Amino acid sequence: MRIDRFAVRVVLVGIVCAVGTLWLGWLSVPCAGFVYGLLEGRVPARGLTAAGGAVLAWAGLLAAEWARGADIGLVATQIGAVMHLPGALLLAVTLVFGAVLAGTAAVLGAGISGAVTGVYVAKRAQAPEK
Amino acid sequence: MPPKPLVITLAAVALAATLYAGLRPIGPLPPLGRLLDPVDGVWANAGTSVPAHSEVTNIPGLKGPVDVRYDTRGVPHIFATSEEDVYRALGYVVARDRLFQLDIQTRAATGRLTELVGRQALEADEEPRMMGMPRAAERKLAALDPGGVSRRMMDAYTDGINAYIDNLKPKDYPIEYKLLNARPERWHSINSVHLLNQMGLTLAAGGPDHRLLRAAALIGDSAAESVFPVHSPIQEPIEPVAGWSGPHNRFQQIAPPGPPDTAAARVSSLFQRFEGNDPTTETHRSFASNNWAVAPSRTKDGYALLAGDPHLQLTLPSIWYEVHLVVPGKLDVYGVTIPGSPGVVIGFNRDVSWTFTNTGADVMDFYRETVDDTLNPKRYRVDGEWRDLVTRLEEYRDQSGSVIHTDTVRYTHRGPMTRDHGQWVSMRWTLLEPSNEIRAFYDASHARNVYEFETAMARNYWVPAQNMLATDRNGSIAIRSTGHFPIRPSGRTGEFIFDGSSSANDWTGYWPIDKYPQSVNPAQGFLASANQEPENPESQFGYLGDDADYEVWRALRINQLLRTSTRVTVDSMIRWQTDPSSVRADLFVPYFLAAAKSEDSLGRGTRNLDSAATLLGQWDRKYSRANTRAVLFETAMQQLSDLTWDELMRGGKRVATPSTAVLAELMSQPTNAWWDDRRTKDVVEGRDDILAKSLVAALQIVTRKHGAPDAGGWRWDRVQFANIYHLLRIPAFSALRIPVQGGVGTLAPSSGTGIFGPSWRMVVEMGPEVRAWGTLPGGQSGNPFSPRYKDHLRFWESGVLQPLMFPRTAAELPAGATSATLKLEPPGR
Repeated sequence: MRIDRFAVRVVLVGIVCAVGTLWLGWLSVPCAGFVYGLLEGRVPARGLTAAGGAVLAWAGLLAAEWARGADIGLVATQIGAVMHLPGALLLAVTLVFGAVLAGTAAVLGAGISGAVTGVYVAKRAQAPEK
Repeated sequence: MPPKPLVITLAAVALAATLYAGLRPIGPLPPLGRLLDPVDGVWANAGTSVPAHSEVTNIPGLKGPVDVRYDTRGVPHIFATSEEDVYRALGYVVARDRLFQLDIQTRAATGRLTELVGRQALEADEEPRMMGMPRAAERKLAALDPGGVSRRMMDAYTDGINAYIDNLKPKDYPIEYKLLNARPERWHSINSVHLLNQMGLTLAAGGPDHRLLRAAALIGDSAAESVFPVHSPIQEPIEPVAGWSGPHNRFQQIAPPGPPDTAAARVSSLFQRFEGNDPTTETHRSFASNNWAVAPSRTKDGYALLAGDPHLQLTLPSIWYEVHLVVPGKLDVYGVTIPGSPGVVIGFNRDVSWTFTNTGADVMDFYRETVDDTLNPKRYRVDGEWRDLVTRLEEYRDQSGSVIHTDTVRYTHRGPMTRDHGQWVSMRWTLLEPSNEIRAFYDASHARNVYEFETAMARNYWVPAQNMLATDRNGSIAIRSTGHFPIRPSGRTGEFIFDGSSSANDWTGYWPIDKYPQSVNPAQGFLASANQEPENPESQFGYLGDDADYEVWRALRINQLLRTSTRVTVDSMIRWQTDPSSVRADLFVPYFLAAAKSEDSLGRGTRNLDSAATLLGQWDRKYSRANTRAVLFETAMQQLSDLTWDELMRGGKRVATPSTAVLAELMSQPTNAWWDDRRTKDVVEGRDDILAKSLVAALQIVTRKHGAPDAGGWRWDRVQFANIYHLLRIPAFSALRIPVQGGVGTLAPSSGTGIFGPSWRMVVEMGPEVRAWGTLPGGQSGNPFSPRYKDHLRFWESGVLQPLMFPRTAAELPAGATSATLKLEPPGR
């Protein structure tokens, strides 16, 4: 049950990241992660969820290109060679780059959310009962 | 549960670092965000590897619809209803296939590479600016009639390129822009002039003979002039000479090395920047070209034949772009264009075919100027009067647009002036003067016979001078060395530096066209040029200035083939373009073998000498890929050069190397003082001693480097390669270590680092229906991920030419022969 919820969250974050990348570019991925962290600050593994969503989104976008006949393998090999990396590693670097952006932003978002919530709770606790 | 403060801090740091890497370049890497973005980054270029099968686009300015059919070789056949539209469409399709090439070549020509790659390109950028090239392009453009044909075609071409650029989304940028974190800039008509100037810089920048000056500084005038003569000692000129039935030797006694000339030493120090080739290697121009034509009387099918292969830098994408332009009733021309320049440069129409080789004339002179202030001159003195210098501020900018360097370039009435070793020297160069080559190419496309072609070219084509060969459907063949050839003060050559304080040293005009080296329908039934001297030195109108770096061997070989063939076919024309035989080897190998025999007979033979001679004697003197002896010969030639020209050494380095034609001349003088090896004080060597020493040394070197003679390491295709680099020299986008047939002095020359070679090969048969064949060392597309990036390379490698499709109408191109279509329409349709 818990895994199912995690998967659903990953897919939802992934959809947001994919749409964001399509429309707004790569910077939408950390933004999506951050917002997810803010909203789901108390949910466990939010960094992992956001990172997984970003990987899913970018892998999906690349897969869509590949399905349309684009030679992803050739680009990986040649651009990898330009950067002195094996092609597969370039692909991995791309996905990890997205994952780190989304994951760290989500943790940061959760931290801010937690801090804000903590202050709110503390204030509530200090407030005199009516 | 909220994350712990330490985790939050680590996440913030990691996020900040990743964002920084995403937004800012780190070292040579562009910002990773834009680069790795799966939609707009490098991955998006995977999509561009699939050519669109059918596309419709609107182009502003178009007067009518244009139908572009790409054939199975990726060549666009452009069918338009007006000439302006055809050039507009040409701009569009060239930009579509070669946008980055257009951009980087223009920046190179204008000295603006720093704007793409930063400060590291500053030195390269200074060269064209200090040579006055951007200013010259501005003056050339300003001199064109604004409503004239050239300007209209250039502007239409510009519209086409910009229509493509304006519709480009970041995801569609060529991969190079993404790697450089740059974006394409809009095109301007002047860029076409810049690009032609750049070609002129490559082909017509031979200044004074710095080798002669440097040699004179070491061995005196007389010896230097003997080993660096104005004219090659072996002649077979382009313009056939009555009574000559083959090469003509003008051998003279070579003057022995004498005392140094200190004045020459001073002057030669001014020309260090013209040290193009490595002076320690045997002289041969890396770029060169061949062309030849055969009259119907000597062809099997009775039609005139033409072959051409310009040898230039091999690049990916190729220097050329193939295209077919059709405007019914007005224009029907096929050939190769220089991306960025409107019009077909080498090609054919329904009546005429043409191709060029470089003339190598001396069209650049230098003047030592007298100035009013050595450090910051404002005036220069001519005929006792001070004249104001024109100044121009050159600003160099980086990727962000900030000025990173400035130069003030001063101009005399002759041209740009630079300071070398404390001396101000100005330069006059035909390239810097107004000309209209684009009009010449336009007129060539419309020519109906060789006479119209040659007339059109002579009228407007001035630089870089080319040997323009043409054939027509009437069976005529013609060649003319066309360009502006300066007339210098009486009796003067351009080999030395002139005194700028007297206007009497200025050029007095240009050769009249009827004095250009030329020939139409010669009795011998063929014409051939391979950068050799255009005409018999005895009958030249004036000093033309032979470029001795162009060795004569290719010319001798093609003339040999043509002289002995009376039933030439298309196949033989194609085969000859990669002919592996070498006149140079035919001349020198017997000398080596005879020297070994002579040493043996004198009791001075050694086992190594015998082995080396036996191995060399086994060679068929052909630079085929599988041959295993050319490597020994080439090494022996290098050794021979080193041992013979030891008098030209200074500080452990040879200052200049005479041509192998001069070496051949020296062969006929076995006891000349030049043969003596100065390092052996008690012995005076002769020719055979040096030849034998060279051969033995070569065997040792080759065995050490490549193993035993028949162990496989001596194969030519393991020794010599063509190396075709991407424009940014990115190995992954390049085609390296390509084994080729050919060597030094063969018709398909291959030497040194292998970065020069035949940049386009074409054979045309001028029959009732024109038929043609061709190939490029690459492909039509500039996109490294496109299947069309280097799909012609395998044909080029093996010397195969593919048939070129030349349909009169779009309908004539069979459905199976069309790989993609592009409809260009005026806006609003």
